[in-house]
Order: sequence, then C-alpha cells, then structure tokens
Amino acid sequence: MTGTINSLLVVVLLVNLFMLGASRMRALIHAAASQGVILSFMPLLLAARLDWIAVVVAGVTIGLKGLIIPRILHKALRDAKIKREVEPLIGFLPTMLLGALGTVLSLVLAACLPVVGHPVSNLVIPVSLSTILTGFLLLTTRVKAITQVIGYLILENGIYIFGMLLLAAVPFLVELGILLDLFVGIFVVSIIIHHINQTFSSMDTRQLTALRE
Amino acid sequence: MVMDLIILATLLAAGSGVPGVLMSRRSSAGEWIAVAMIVTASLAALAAMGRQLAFAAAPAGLSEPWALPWGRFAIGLNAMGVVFLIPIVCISSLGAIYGLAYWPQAHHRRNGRKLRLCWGLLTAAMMLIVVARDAVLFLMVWEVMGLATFFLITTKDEDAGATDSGWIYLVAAHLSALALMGMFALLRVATGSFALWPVLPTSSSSVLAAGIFILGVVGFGLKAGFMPLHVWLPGAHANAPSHVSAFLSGVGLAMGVFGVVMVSAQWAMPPIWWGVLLLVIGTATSLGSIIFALAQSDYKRLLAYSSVENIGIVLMGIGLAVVGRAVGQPLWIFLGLGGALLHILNHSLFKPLLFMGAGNMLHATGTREIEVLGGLAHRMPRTAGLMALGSAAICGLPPLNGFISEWMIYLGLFNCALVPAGIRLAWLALAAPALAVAGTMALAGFVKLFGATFLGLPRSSQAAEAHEAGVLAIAPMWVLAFGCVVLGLAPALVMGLLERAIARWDAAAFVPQPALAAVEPLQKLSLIFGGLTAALLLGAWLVYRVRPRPGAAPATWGCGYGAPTSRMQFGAGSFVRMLTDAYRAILLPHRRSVKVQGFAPETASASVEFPDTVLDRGLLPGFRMVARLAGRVRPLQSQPVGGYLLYVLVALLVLLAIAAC
Repeated sequence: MTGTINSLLVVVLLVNLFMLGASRMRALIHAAASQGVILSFMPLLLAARLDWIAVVVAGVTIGLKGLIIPRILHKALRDAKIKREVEPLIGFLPTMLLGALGTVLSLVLAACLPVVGHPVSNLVIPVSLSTILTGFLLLTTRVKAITQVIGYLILENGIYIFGMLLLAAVPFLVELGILLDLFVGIFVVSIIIHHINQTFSSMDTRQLTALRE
Repeated sequence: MVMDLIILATLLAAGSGVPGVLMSRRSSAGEWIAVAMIVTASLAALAAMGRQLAFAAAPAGLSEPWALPWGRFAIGLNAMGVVFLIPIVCISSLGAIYGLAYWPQAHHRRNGRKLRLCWGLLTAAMMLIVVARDAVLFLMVWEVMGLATFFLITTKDEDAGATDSGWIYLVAAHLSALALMGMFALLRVATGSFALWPVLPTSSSSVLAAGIFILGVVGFGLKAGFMPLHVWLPGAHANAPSHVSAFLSGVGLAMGVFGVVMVSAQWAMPPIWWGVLLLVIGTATSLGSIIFALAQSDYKRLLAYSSVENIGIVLMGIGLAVVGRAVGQPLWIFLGLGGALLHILNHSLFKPLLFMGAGNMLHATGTREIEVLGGLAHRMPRTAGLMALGSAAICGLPPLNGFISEWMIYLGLFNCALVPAGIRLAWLALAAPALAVAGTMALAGFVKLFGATFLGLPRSSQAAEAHEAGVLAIAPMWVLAFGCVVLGLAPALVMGLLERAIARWDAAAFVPQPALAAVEPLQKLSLIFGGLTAALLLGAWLVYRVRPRPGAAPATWGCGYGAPTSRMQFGAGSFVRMLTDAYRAILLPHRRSVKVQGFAPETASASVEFPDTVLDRGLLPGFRMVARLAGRVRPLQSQPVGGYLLYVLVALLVLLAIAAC
C-alpha cells in the first residue's frame, strides 16, 4: 500500500516539475488535470475500507479536476483566442531549477517540522509543500490570467495532499467544500477572462495594474 | 468672581468673530462688533486681574468635573498668570483696533471674516493656556492656539509664500503638541494626576525629571522659537498680515516662554545643568538669530528674527534663575526671572509697535524689501517717529523700557562673577559679553532697518508715493509707544507685580527691599532717565532750530550733499556688509554674481541671499532626501498580483523555516 502511494507521490512531484517547464498552454492544462486525477485516487487507497462516501467523493473530484475544469480552461483558451504559449517572466529552465530547489527545501523542512502521529508516508509533507511552492511559482512567474488559474489549482492540490495527513480528522465534507470553492472560483475567473479579453483584447495581468488607484 | 470674569472674557473673545461670520461679506458691521467684543473681553479680564491682585490673598481657582474621560475643567489665576495675561488682552485689543484700518472687511472680503474669527479664538485659547490648571484642558487649548495661528498665518491663502510658511508652522506646532503630550504623560506618572502645575518631590527619579524637563523645553521651545527650533518663525511672521505678526510675535511666543517658566518651577532643587542648558540655549539663540536678523533684506523677516533674539534674552534670564534656584542664590533668581518677565512685557510692547509700523510701510508701499524703500520719513512722519522709538526700545537704549529688563539680566549675570567662594559658577558671567554683542548687532540691524527705509531719498516710485496710515492704525501704536516710555521711566510701577510673580515661582526667592535697592536702584534710575529724556528733548529742539533751511547753499566741500540722488546713499545690504561678511560661516550666504571682464563688459548683476541655515540648508534638504529614499521603497507597495503572491510565498517560506528550526 505505502509503495503505491509513494510512487503516486513521486509522479505528482514529476508532474510539478513538468508543469514548471511546460511551454504550451494545453500541456499545462493536461498536466494539472492529470495531477488532480492522480490525487483523487489516493483517498481510496488510504481508506481502511471502501465506503460509498469515499467513492462518491473520489468520483466527484475526478470529474471536476479531470474533466470539467480542464474543459472550462480549454474553452476559455479557445474563446479568448490567446496565443497557446505560456508567457513566463522568468525562463522555463530557471523556474524548473527553482522548483527543484523548492522540492529539496521542502524535503529538508519536512524533516524538521514537528509532526504529531505517524503519517502514511514520509513523502506526504514534502510533496505537499513542494506542490504549494510550485503553485506559487506559477502564480508569480507566469503572466497570463489562465496560468494564474492553473497556479491556484495546483496550490489547491498541494493543500489537498496535506489534507491526507488529517484524513481521519478532516471529514470529506470539508474537502468537498474546498473543491466547490475552487470550482466556482475557476468558473468565475474563466468568465472574467473572457470579458477582459473582449474589452481590452489582452490577458496580460501586468496590464491590469493600469486599473489601480 | 475673578474666575467668572475670566470665563466671561474668554467666551466673549472666542465668540468675537462669530457675528461677522454670520453677516454678509460686504457688511463691515461684523468687524466693529468683533472689536467691541474683544475690547470688552479685555476690560473684563483686566478687571479680574485687578481684583485678584488688589483684594485676594490666595490665588483664585475654579475646578469643575466635565464629561470627558480625563481631567477636569480647572482654571486658576495668580500673579505669574497676570504677567502673561496682561499682554494677551492688551495686544489682542490693540491689534484688533489696528486691524480695522489694516485689514478692513471692505478691502478683504474673502478672508476678513476668517481672520477675525481666528483672532478671537487665538485670544481665548491663549487666555486659557495661562489660566489652565489641568493638563487635558491645557493640551486642548494649546491645539486650538496652534490651529488658529495656522489659519491666521495663511489668511492670504492664495499666496504661496503664506501657505508654505503656514505648513511649516503646522508641522512645528504638532511636534510641539506631541512633545507636550509626552511631558504631561510623564508628569502624570510622577504625580498621579493631571493637575497643573504640580510641585514635584525632589526625591522623584532624576531620569523621569530630566525627561519631563527636556520634553517641556522642546515642546515649548518649538512655540517660543529657541534656536534651532525657530525654523517656522521667520517665514510665518513675514507672510502673516502685520497685525497678526504683531500678536504672534509679541504674545504668541510668550506662551512658549510661559511653559518653560512653569515647567522649570516644578522642582524645589533643580539640577544645575538645567539652568546652564537654558542659559546656553538662550545665548546661542540671541546671538545666532540677531546675525540672521542683521542680514535680512525683508523688514518683516528682520523683525521676526529679532523676536527670536529677544526670546533668547528672556531664556538667558530664566536659565540664570534656574541656576540660582539650584545653588540657592535668591538674588540670581530675582534678577534673572524678574528681567525675563519684564522683558516679556517689554517685548509685547515694542515688537507689536514695530510690526504695526511695518504694516503701515507694507500698506503704503506694497513691498517688504528694504532695498527699494527710502525717505519714508517725509511721507509717513508719524509712523517714522513711532518706529524710531520702538527701534530704540528694542535695542535696549535708555531711557526706554528695553534697557531696564536687559539691565536686570546683565546685573544678574555680573552677580555670577561676584558669588561667594564655594560655587564655581563665575564663568556664567561670560554670557554677559555675549548679550552685549547681541545688543550691539541688534542696534546695527535696526539702524539699517530705520535708516534704509525712513531716511535718505526714495529708491523707487513705491517709496516716493507712500502715504501715511489712518488714525486707527496710528492710535494703537501711540498706546504701545506710551507704554514703552512709561515702563522705561518708571519701572517701579510693575516691580510689585513681578515680585509677587517671582514669589509664586519660588517662594524662597525673597530679597529684602534694602538689599534689592542697593543692587537695583530703580528710583534713582527713574530720576536719571527723566533728566536724560529732558536733555534729549532739548537737544532735539536745538537741532531742529539750527537745521539747514531748504534752498540754503551747500557747503563748498560738501561732497555733493547739496544735491544727493538715491544712488549715492548706502544700500541696506552694503551698510551691514562688514558684519555679514564677518559671520558668513554661520550665515552661509548664497551669492550669485557675473564676473566682469574686459574693457567693455556686458551688463552684469550680483545678488546675495541669506537663507535660514537650519531650515533651508539643514531640514528641507534632509526631508527631501528622506522623501527620495522613501520613494525607492514605494514600488514594493504597487505590485501586480504576481508580486503580492511572491510576498506571500516569501512569508510562507520564512514562517516554515522558523517553524522548522
């Protein structure tokens, strides 16, 4: 069991690095979706016994993260007729290096963090931290509004992984609530992206600063 | 009864501008109502003071609870308060009357009503400052005074010079209020109540006591204009309407001095260094500012710097008194504090006189530049005569009042050199020569002011077409000049009051009358001055008799004085050039000149300015540098979303690292 979970977590880590290096928007969306799907399976593996609530939650999560959210993002991409390239503020290689550095840092930090109880796997905390950092990296170094949405998505994934530590304590209902928030957020942002694009014919978040004050 | 009259006077003064505000801009009834109310208020306050001094043995007081969370409405009046209250009510009334001629509503529709409203508020606030016996009340009226002064300085709010000076003043006023809040907080720590002015136990912590004293000196010094805290003063007094300058300079600065006097009275045995500190600040203030006064080419700025000098002289007296208290020398206290208080009274006579004269000049010529005036004595003879008297008084020339107060301080300083063995403070007498230097330079400055503006020939058409001011502008000046002469000839008139005030400051400062008369023979002085005045008048009459008749042939070797032109006379700047060159290390003049070269040089010009060393070369560049440095940090705040998220990331990492380590 632990072996499977560990290998899944390593895949999540690899997907993180892949996303930091992805230059095509479609690839980024796919990677984020697949990361979501992988993560959705984990509660099923962790649960002591398969009850129907866990199955329903996993199903809803897979549906949202694997199908609906990627669909919305693809649609936004198509409607807004934006270029299919990810526009980075820092190059792809440096961000990947930063991501790798962040992963190392998370491993070091996780070793020092005082954790109560025995986690399922030693990798949960480092992968969670590393995914959160990846989300932040995407948020801060990518320009387009859609990449920012994906950044939030990955941030949520990181928090989701962390939640696995507390599987016994945090009911699935809370997890579902977070997921719903995220879904609504992405839904709204996609619509806003569409409108911003129609109004300003640009989706560069740097230009949004012209609206301040 | 006494306090009722004081409250009545305060209310009348505070409300004096209100009827005018409710009236039309065109109506000039409001200004007459305001003057009537101010004068009534002054009479009520004078009646209260007279009653208090004549009939009451104990200080009058009133203390009522109020709805505010702290403090009480507590006021009180004693002889020390009377010394400061008299100038407030007198100069407020005289200034208001002068304002009828100088700032009539008919000519100043935009701001006349504002000026009168703030004038009344300022008068009331100052009266309450003197009588306040509660720190919260004191701070409230101190703030009202600051704001009313700000609006008075910026009366002409369309004038950039006035608004700039006003802002500088406002900053200084707030710093002052801040320091005073700190001081009153510490006082509460020391005494446990907000009651003023407490007598603190000698056993209280010396650090706490020093904190209270230093904060008090800074807070009140910003108001009084001790160097280098004087920065707001020259600009504000130059740009305010002249009767406002008269009020602020003659009385407003005295409020700061009042504070220093009261703060230093709170300890039975103050450390010696407090007095020495005050004496040193006073000496530096009077010397430093008179150098700047000398160099000014704007006559109102010159008068403003001269005010700083006079405050410095007052502070020297207070410092001497504090030292006297520390070492137990009643004579030092008497001469120092007596001279200081008398100088406050004197300054509130001759400085408003001079500012009102300056107002007449400004009104008649429309310029504050000394260099373009000249020969005004022929067109404005009454103003010229009154200004001459005021200048002589402020320079401390006998037989006028300025001499008496400076003489007392001199006597006190000389007494330092005569102290019995055991007190090694004879070096304090070194302040006396410094005072003498300041007095000499003041004389040079006022000779420059009077000579370049009133004597000689007009240097411009403005000066040539000047006209005398109206009777309402001249009459208050006559009253002030009369005061200068009376206090000069008969200083014994106010000595009784001063003795009682000094007794309030330090009950131990009693000097028996024969001993005092030996040091300070006021009666003899009056006789000598009477004779001197008679001789002066006789001499003036003789000079008048033998004056050259117009049309008389000039002397053969008369150096062209038979047909002078305005270009032949000394300019104001060249008159004091020798002195300003000697002190250029302090003045740091800003010279601009084109070098004249060759046989047929092009038109060349030269100019020299004397910016305030502290303000224009120290504070303003310093503030600009701070603003520049702060501007570099500013982009941190205005970031795109990504930037803010980066901050979150950094904060997260730092927190994680802290949690992990």
